[in-house]
Amino acid sequence: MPVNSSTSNFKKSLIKSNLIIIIKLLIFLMLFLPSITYVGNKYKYASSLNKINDANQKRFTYFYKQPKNSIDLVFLGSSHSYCSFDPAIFDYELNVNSFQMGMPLQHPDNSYYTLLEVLNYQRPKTIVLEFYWDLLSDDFELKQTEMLLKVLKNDKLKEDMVKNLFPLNEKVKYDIPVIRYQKDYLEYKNKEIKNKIQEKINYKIPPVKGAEFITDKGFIFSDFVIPEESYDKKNQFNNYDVKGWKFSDVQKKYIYKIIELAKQYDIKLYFVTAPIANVSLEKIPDYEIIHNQISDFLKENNVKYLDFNVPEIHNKLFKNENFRDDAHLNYSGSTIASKYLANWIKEDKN
Amino acid sequence: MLFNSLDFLIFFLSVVFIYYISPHKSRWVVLLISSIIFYMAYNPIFILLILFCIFINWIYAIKIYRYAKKSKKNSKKYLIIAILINFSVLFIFKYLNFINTTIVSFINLFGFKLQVPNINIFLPLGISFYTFQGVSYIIDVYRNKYKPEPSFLKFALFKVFFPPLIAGPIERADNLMPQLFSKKEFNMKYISLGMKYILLGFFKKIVIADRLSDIVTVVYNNPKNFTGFSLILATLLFGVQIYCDFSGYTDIAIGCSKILGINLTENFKKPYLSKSIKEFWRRWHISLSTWFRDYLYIPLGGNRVAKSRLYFNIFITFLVSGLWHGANWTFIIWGMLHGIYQIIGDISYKTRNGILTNLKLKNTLISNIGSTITTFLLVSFAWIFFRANTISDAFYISKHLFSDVNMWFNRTYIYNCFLSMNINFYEFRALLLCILILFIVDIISKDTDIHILLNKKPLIFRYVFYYILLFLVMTLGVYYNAGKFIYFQF
Repeated sequence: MPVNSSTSNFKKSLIKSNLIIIIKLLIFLMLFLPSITYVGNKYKYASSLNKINDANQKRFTYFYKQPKNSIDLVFLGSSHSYCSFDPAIFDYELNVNSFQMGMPLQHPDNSYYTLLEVLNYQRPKTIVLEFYWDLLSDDFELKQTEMLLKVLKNDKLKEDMVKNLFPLNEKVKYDIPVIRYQKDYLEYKNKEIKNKIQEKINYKIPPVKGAEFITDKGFIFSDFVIPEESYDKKNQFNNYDVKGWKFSDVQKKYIYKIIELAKQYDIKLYFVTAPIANVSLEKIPDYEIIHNQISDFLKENNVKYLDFNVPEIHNKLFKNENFRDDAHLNYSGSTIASKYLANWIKEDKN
Repeated sequence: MLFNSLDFLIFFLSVVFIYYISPHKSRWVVLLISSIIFYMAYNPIFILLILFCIFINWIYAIKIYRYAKKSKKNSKKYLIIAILINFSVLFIFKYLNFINTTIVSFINLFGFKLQVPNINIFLPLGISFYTFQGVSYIIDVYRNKYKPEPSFLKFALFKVFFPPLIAGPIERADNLMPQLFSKKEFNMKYISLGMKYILLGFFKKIVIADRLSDIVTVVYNNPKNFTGFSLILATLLFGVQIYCDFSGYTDIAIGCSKILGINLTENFKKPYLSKSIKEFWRRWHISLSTWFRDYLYIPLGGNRVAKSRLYFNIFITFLVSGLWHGANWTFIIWGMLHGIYQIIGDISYKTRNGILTNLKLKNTLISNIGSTITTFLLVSFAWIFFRANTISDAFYISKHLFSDVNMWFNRTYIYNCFLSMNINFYEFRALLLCILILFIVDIISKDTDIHILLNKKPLIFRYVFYYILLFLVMTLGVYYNAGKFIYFQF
């Protein structure tokens, strides 16, 4: 049968050509994989040289040096926590030994894991968890999570974090060095090139007015004052979309977990939102919408909450000069906020 | 489910696997179900809207065809009803708020203080694309170009076939329909070709477009914080970004379809190598340009009319094209600008030609390069209106492009401009290299397809080319906070 034989010949030649292409593809990939592994290692090495997380690394080094079970009060939260709440003031006002464990962009999911690590070494009686509302709308934040993974000592905890926090998409990227460390490498190379250009054009870096450093209790001291351009032009809250803000269910889940953990260890838990600059708050006339959502959620869970951005408190306490930028307090502001919060806790305990 | 996500990779591999293990006859069902899943992954509720549009187009196409022989008048009546329904859906979801605010602002100009609340309507993904596809289908049936599809489900697949569903190419039934239901063997040649398209698409999208996006966004979100140099740089880079973003999407859509044994329409033919605006529109978003040509420009009279009418036709076509892109005055002005460019180009054609002939420069390399650069700059200027968030931003940028021209040779000033745009110097250098690679690829394959061209070359050429592409995608692609495709908003 000629028709059948031509069909079978066609099928045979198709199978043959398919096989040839598959072999070619495999050879291509075999040649490709070593180069990508090499670049991945190069990126990883550059990442280890990056000093972006210097302050964070120091905070954890200081923390691990604390004598076991010596800390009474721990602060968790984002940069707003470590810029606003100075443990030295709390130590004086409350007669305790406190420590600041806030981290850049720390979301509640990461606060939970930080708390677990704290509990491996310490038995605090009080926890102050700072909420920066903008972070509560993310389901996952890789940059921050990576930062925490880099400084944690406990490998089991790290494994749990990767297993539980990372969405599948992110987990895959995290497991591929050439993708995972790419940003660090680009940043590292950028610094190199910037230095070369500055040298070539004889660039003079404008002098910085003020100082910034981390204390041995994890607090960031800063006496910068908000620059005028941040009042309006460069203010990050320009056109802030309050109505588009959403309280992430993932973050809610970890707040529940923190509440449960606190109950389990008999820890008194306080939630607090640090102030943003007066000029910034003016740009969010509907801030009440956000405040009410957080406040209602915490009321349902019987947790004490203090929001420094509520007008009655904010207007009474802060001026623009108390801020280092449009969203963070400087030392003068942090002294005011710390004293106020310490008294608020004192009153609650009494 | 973005093309540049792991979710899509898993989805697509599963579809390909199920597709090829299924018997030939039921493969179209696999495509239909997977396309519905794909669309529902964005917003499940909008599947109802698209099904409604499919039903309207399907039923009216049959009616139009039935009456075509009996009564042309009735057939036309059904055509008009179907077109009106299609455009009403588009109007409600895309233009209602725009018209609403425009009318209110206009009335308020006369001292009234009207306040009409904005209706909160989400724009269904791909609505402009599938509406135009549906309208072209019913018009073609009316024009007796082809018979309507009797099976609702088969017609539904034509409308929701997932690779081009969200951002085109806008497929015509005579190209796509027969391919969806024809018998296909598992052929690695197609699969490998499809993979090559996808790879080039990813190179354009995640290596170039997504990296450029950060720079452009910083400037365009706050243009008043920047001076001329930054505004010009961001504008030129946006021209590259939108090309890589949109043609990257198209390449991935074409590649995915090829893996399934289906050839989509070509949508881009190296538009930035055009020597005139007219040529640009023959090379940019071809499926939309041809749609406007066939269903608006020619019905208006096309070019077989008096000059004044011709210019009117061109202007209207581009104005509507601008409006198609978005419900905002920025898009309308962008469209109008392209219309004006074409009209001026036509009016000045003879004079320009005469000058070039007198200077003995006609069709020389210099004149060709000059025309290409001029076209690129004109297109880039128009992109300002396309990209700006508001009309006042667009005018601000246009006005301040050369505000600091006296400083352009001051190295410290330029360095500060780069710093203010948050540019990573290493990334920027790599980006320029990638853009150069793409530019060379475009020049080499100006009137053909790079993959077909390379197939004629020795194996080593292909290996090196795809090796470089894959290497750049893996090492320089944006994998975190990767951007959506720009054309998803339309």
